[in-house]
Amino acid sequence: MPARGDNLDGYVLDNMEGAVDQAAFLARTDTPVAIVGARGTGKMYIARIFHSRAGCGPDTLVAIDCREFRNRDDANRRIRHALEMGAGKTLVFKSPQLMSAEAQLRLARQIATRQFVDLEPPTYLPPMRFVALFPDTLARLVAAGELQPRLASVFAAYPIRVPPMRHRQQAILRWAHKILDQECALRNVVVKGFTPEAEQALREHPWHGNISEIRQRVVHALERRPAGAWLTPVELQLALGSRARSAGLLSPLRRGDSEAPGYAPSALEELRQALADSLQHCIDGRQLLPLGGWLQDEVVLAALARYAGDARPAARFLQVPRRNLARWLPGIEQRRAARGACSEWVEPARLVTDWVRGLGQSGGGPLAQAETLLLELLEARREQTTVAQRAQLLGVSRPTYARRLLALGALPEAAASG
Amino acid sequence: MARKRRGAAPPADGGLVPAANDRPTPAALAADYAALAETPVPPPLGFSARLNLLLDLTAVVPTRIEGRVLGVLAINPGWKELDVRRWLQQDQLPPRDVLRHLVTLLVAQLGSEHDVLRWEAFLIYGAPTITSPVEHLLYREDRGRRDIASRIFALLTEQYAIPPSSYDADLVFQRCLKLMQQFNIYEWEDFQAGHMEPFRSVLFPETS
Repeated sequence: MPARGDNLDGYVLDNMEGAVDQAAFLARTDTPVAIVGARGTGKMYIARIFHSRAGCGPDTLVAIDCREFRNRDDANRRIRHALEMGAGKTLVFKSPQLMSAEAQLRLARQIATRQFVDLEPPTYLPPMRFVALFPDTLARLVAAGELQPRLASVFAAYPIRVPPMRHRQQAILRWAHKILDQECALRNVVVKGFTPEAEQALREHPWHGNISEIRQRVVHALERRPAGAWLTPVELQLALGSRARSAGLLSPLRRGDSEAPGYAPSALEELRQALADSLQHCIDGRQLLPLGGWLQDEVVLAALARYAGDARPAARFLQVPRRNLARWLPGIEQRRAARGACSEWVEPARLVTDWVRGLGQSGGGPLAQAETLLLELLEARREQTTVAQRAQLLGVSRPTYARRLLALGALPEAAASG
Repeated sequence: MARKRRGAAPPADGGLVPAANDRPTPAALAADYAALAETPVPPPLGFSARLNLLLDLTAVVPTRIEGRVLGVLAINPGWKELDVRRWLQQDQLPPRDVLRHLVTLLVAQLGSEHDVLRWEAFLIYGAPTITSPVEHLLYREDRGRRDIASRIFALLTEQYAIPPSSYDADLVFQRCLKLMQQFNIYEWEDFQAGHMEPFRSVLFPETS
């Protein structure tokens, strides 16, 4: 087992730059709390700290995933139910900015007044605590038109900001060792730890996916490493030296601009880049892998993972009949070995999971979105490939490829060229 | 939309005051102001939430589900219930003198280390525009970190022969806790020799 680390519950050696302290402080009050941070930074973990420091048991924390609301009425109905049943609980609203404007205003009014709306005589809500998890600062979400000012206002008392990993590079190894401990214990395996090269690569990686990305890479490494060995950059799928971003000793003193947005790619942007890299690798190596089929496989698996294996909500999220899922799964399993053996596919697969986890229910289905993404990348390489090759890379026949292009709105000659 | 102001370029000598011929004319200023005045100022986002936070901390009025509005109204029966409701729920600012008196009254319940003006500014503008007036309370409970901060404090004063008369110990201690957090120092082994100088320059700026 690694030498560093501590017990398996929660963080030990990283204070998340004061977020833990702030959560503990606010737990003494009745203040609705906004927890702000990019994907994978550990917002839910801070919510649990807030909840436990308020003296509440783990079974009284209720996560309300606003990405799952299908429309305004669905949101209002489910929130009403949560409020009615919320006595003594902490309601954690995940991404409430994704709700319709009317649902946001209704929730804001109920939290601000602590009264049910549309109930006569006016009735107070039962005693409960409110937490909301946001991907960006309230001011920026309001300015972008995503978050209603009224809802932002009720959570704006003293927002807790969970910094991204790139702002706390000193803590990356601690998290990596911590997560390695946890995952080894879960799998009942023994690993000696990270090699010095792996530690260097861990320090240098930008970690746009934050703590979730560390966990994904450690899990991936454990699945590919025999017990008792050391983990190297190869298993972690990290490049050494290419993306070095040394913070330097004095960087914390210069970090007065911690509210500055800075650029961090979204999961979709990262996925697009990873797919483009894989595609280019295939084209350069004349290795026409069925990336389109694999991409669909990963989306289905990620949807199932999002709902802990429950096929009914996964099918609804994918916007396909449930029986299709059952029909597809044997083939997906059959292709697992081929996907896993391809080192170029590791990163896209990981990023599909990230992307699917953050998607809302509205808009086109994720399968169609993923296919469109790959189709656009393929069409951007028309000069280097024939239609037949692009169809093979998408994992479909030529006529089907042409039909997909037409559906995408591309020019008919694009389908015919090559 | 405000028009571009005449003479908006920075002064050539890099000073703060532009040369006389670069300054906008009174008429231009008046026009700019008139344009700005057309834009309504939105209510301060989160004012009510922060006022409620202050009320929670003082615990002198009932909670929000036990009649907080009436509790605040009892402080001055001359206030109107609708106004109090707007202060507590709709981000509407009370008149300036009312706000000052209310904040003074409430902050007095928190202890002498709290600053009324800082609280007032925080209620209106919030963090990060105004540093939270409770930030110094956040680090008081972590025993482990306070022990490490004490050791760093002692090490620095011994190493650089800094006499006790030259610093405010409480202030330096709070700076030390803050800097430890910024450097991610949570164990004694995290504190390296290279940290000495940066810690000295922040904790004891007058000696460096």
